[in-house]
Parts: sequence; C-alpha cells; structure tokens
Amino acid sequence: MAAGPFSSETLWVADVANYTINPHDDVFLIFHKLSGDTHILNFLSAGILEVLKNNGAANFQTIAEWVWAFLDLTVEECPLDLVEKTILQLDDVALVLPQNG
Amino acid sequence: MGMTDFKPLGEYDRRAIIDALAAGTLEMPLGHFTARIKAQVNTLVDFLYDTYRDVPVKTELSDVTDISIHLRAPSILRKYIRTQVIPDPGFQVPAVPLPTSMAALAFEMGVNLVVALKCCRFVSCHAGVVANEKGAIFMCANSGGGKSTLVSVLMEDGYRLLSDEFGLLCMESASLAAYPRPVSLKNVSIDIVRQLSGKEWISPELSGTPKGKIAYRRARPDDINKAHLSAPAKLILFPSFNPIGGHYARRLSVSEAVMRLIPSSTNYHLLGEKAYLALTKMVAGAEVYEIAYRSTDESLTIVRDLAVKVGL
Repeated sequence: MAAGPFSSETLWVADVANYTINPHDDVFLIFHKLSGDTHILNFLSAGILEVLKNNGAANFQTIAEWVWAFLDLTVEECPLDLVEKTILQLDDVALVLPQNG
Repeated sequence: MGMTDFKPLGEYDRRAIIDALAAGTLEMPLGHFTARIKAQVNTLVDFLYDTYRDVPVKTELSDVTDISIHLRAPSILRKYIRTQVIPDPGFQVPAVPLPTSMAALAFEMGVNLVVALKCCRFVSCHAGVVANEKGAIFMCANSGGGKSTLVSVLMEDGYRLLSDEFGLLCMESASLAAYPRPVSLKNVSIDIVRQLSGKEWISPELSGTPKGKIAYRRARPDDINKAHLSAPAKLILFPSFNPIGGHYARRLSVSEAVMRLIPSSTNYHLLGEKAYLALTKMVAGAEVYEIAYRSTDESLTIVRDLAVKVGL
C-alpha cells in the first residue's frame, strides 16, 4: 500500500531534510521530524534511503539496481517486488516521497 | 530568619501554613520545579506536614512558579455536602473528584499531571530513578510493575531518590534530573516498604482510592538537599512483577530500549528531535534489561547483580 497514487515510472526521493537516522546494532533508528514518529528500519529500508540520498530521484527498477549494488545482493536474494513493497512502506510513513512533475 | 526565607515545612507553625495555603502563597521549590500551592483542606495540611516536612518552603510568594496547584471543590455543592476536591493546575485536566479525605492523592496526581503535560525542559518518562555517586538506575514499568517498591527498596540500599513517578531526562546532557517527591506505594507494597524503611517514613494509608490502598514513602532530607544534582543513567530496567512465572533478566538492544521508552514518555512527540537524540544518547550510555521477578527479594537480588555488573 502507498500513501497515494503511483506507477512503476513514479520517481521517488528520500525526505532527507526531515529525518535523523542512526545505526544501532544491526538495525537503524530513524526519527521523522514532520510526524514526530520514530521507526526501526532493517538494512534494506535503510539501504533504500541511503541510495536515494546519494543518487537522487529514481523509479522502482533503478532504485532496486542501486540497492543490489550498494548492499551486494542479487535479484534472487532481494527481488524487485520486495524493493517495491519496502519503498511503499517508506512512503506510508513519509520517509520517501513521490517526486512531483 | 524572616518569613520570606525558605525553611523546612515542618518547622513552620501550622497556622502559618494554613494561612499561606488559603492565600495561595505557599511556595515549594523541589529539584528543578517550584510549586505554588493553594488549598483550604485540612487533610492536605496534615499530609504536607507529614510527608513534605523536610522540603523547604516559603509562605510568601517571591517568584514565578513552574507549577500552580489549587486544590478546590469541583462545585459549590461539593464544598459543603459530601465534600470533594480536584487539583486545578490552571488548565483543563482529566481529574476525577476525590473525597477530601483523599486530598493527598488529589494533590500528588495534580502535580504529576502538570509535569506530565506541561514540562518542556526535560523528556519525561514514566519511571522511577535512584542514583549513587557513580550513576543512576532508571526503572520504567507499567502500573503494578513494582517500580515504586523497587525505588523504595533501593533507597534502603544507599541509593539517593531522584524521582518515583517521572524520569526527567535533560535534553542537553542526557543526564537525569531529580524531583524527589514522595514515593507512591500501593496495596501490599506498603507493608513491604514499611518493614524495610520503618513506619516513621510512611504516611498514613488512604483506603478505597481508585488505585486501592495508597501510602507515601517520604523523601529523606539528603534526597531533597541533593535534588540539584543530576546523574547519568548506567542501568535502565523494564521490571515486571510475574508471580506465577519465572524470574529472568534479558538484555535489550539500544533500538528495542528506545522504542519501549518512547510510549512511556509524556512529551516525546511534543519535544521532537531533541527528545529522540537525548533518549538515544541516554540508552547508548547504559545497559538495558527487561527483568521479571516473583518477589521483592528476588527483584532486589537481580537489580543488585546488574548494578554490580554495570559498575554502580
């Protein structure tokens, strides 16, 4: 589920200016300044935010390719579908946003 | 010493306290908060004389106060017939009217509500905190988890009382501030603490309250005199009384501990990122355990072992 309409070509950006993220043990704590909510992220969610922060806006396919390279994963280990679902979950809590225009 | 100086409440003439309460000019600084108290309730006078006897007060206001509590009747009818009181902190609170015999409980609940809802200088968590010169033990538990009993027992072990109801976390230093008000004891814990501490330290019991039987363990003069000293958390505990289960101590990760502390905070979402940073800093500097126990003795053994382990 996503926070709003999207397609496979929607470009996603990380809301970098509005969160603080810290690694703790094998997870990441993230504080979202706009909602005031705190979340625990696994390595995949945190990896998606990191590649979006480093590379800018991208669609599902491009983000997945960046994530596979960044986390040294294969498509079998981390299918595109899983990356898509994770991006939509991040969208639900406003940590990533669809880019307008 | 003039009337405008602070001196322990118990050293004042009862008439002076009654007059100051009636005029709303009783000023009570304790830790980082100064309270102004107004009331015309004899049972509150008795409670203050007993339980706050060592706390310095003034009978004339000389400062802006952080807390203003007016203990008053909820309606004109309840001022005269089946008399009741509610704590009025100057803003609307969900306070249940209580019989005047329970004025002490109304007062304590009123002060707690003000700190919980209006304190923005500290991250406040529902927790009991004690400390020695090396650091603090921060105990965060649901009601009935044995937090206040543990606080009282650890006071007998030589720890200083920082607070019973709220862990107050300084956002700049991530250390814990003291607010040594009386420790609220309920039901069976009253007898346990009375036996350990001595009956002279326990207030008269209030029976039939919404929380059952209640009594208060008075803060010691040393707790009050050192209320300006903060302490870093060395050990964070999530205790639970588990009479039919086993006892254990399970270490928690930083992330798990932070996520469990957030719901216990009354102002985390109000304070935002600063609260997040202070909370994570406090947790990262401490060891965190979830503990379960079947008796007070067992809880004390577990906590003593963990305290030694973390160097307290």
